[in-house]
Amino acid sequence: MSDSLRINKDKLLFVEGVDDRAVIYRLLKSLNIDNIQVICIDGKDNRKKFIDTLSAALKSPKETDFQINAFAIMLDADNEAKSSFQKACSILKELQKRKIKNLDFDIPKKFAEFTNSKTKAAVFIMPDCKCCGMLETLCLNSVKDDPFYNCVESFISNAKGIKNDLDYIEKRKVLSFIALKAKKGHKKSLGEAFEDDIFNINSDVFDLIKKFLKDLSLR
Amino acid sequence: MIKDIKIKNYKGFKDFQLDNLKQINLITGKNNTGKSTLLEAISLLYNPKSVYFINFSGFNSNNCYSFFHNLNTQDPIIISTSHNNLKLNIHLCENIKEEQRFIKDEKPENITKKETGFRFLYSSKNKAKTDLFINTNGNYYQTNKSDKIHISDTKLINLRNTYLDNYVKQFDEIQTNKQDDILIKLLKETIAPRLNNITLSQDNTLKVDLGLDKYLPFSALGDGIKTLFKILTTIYTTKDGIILIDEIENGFHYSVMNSVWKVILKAAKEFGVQIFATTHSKECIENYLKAFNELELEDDFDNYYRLEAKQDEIISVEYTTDELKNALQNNFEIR
Repeated sequence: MSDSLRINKDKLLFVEGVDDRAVIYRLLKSLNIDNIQVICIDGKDNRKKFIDTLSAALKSPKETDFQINAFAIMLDADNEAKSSFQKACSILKELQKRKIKNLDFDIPKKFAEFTNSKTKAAVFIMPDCKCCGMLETLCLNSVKDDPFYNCVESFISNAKGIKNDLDYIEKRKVLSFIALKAKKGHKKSLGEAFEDDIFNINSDVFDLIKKFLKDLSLR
Repeated sequence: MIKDIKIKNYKGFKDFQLDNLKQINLITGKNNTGKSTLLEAISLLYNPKSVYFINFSGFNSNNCYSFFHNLNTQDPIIISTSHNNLKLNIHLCENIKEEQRFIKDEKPENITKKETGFRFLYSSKNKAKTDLFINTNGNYYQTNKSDKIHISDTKLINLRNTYLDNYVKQFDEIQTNKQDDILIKLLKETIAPRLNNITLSQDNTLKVDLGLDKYLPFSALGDGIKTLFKILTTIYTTKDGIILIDEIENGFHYSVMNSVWKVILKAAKEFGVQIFATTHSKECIENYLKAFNELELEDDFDNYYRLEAKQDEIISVEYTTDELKNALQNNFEIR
């Protein structure tokens, strides 16, 4: 078993899953930012569990004696960015009630904007704080110029012709794209594929999230 | 049951407070973060004579200064709880003879010169004030004996101490109350399958029947069963009181930890005992949670605290049962 999580940075970013974490760490690496710790909080659909886990993560012991200066929550928009933002804010309100020592923050009012409270807080909604979708949407948008992208589109479109209620379309597209691009057809997760630069990290679709990460690193 | 405790100027605690205390309070933290010190302070509040044994080096004129934070003997040690507004101030008295004006019930000639010790000054809800003088020579003087302060029965279990006298007395009480059969059954089911019986012989020593031709001395048993025996006899004889257990995992193999916790939690609930237990062991905490879930105990039955040293202060980080559960599931460090 890997070492238990301890807090080792004064800026924290909470994401929904291991793929999100891998993608963010790759983006941070490309930006030469190393002062942000990215932590997975599973299960946003179980509100109570999500808050308990988030709270437990924030209470983790720190490697040295410092205080958390800023933290952000990054959630998928899924069907609507605004409702996901409100969901994240209501989670933060619950977290406020738990009165975690040395974590004194206000509730963000706008997407991707840090509060001015002692501990800065912000919410970023994937893919771009506007459209519906998720991490996968952002990654797929970065490779729309890739010839294989059209293959994937046709493939999924054909599949929908056979099963018109095909769900998790974006995730299926991502896995299909990875299957085509990965060396020797190796099975890879989105996080692993992103680390291997199967997606286009330099695409301007990542500009907003990169700006947000830079902002967090300066808090 | 106490719901909070404040400690000032005691050893590592400059000004420390723990709130939301529950019936079961599990405490962890690195070395030198005050886990044992917290138990000592609670013990001193309710059982001032424990000053004689809470330090390994005892209580003597050479070490009595070390009870004070940064050796600050100018200020008293203050230990208090909102339960009955009980407040204890402990002052260092380098010459108790000079303080004899406070000791109305004792004849001054009983006090030899230059006795060093602590003055325990209690106040509580009913305005009663009680003075105790405990000196390093083992003498004990009390004033205002008629006043009653609200004291809970509190016992500190030192699992590293091999001395069994207290537990022999407790077992005697359990036998008198005809609870020994249940206790032996629990020990047998949990940790000692060969144990048939425990008896108290005429010379006041404990003997055990392990199905052999003769009874064996209790000391021949392993550490795990001794530890559980100490804990259970204390719970059985401390109804509605407080029990303080340092490093509760001592002597237990991880495979029995779950059943040990179940037995302890059930007994604590049955006897209304409030437990403060410290641990360094993740397995102990995991098994504690497992037992807690299996017994379907209520969420407000327990709390978990990690103590952390920050420069000159010690702070506590409090976890609810659900936070603790999720931290373990996600492999977040909790100790």
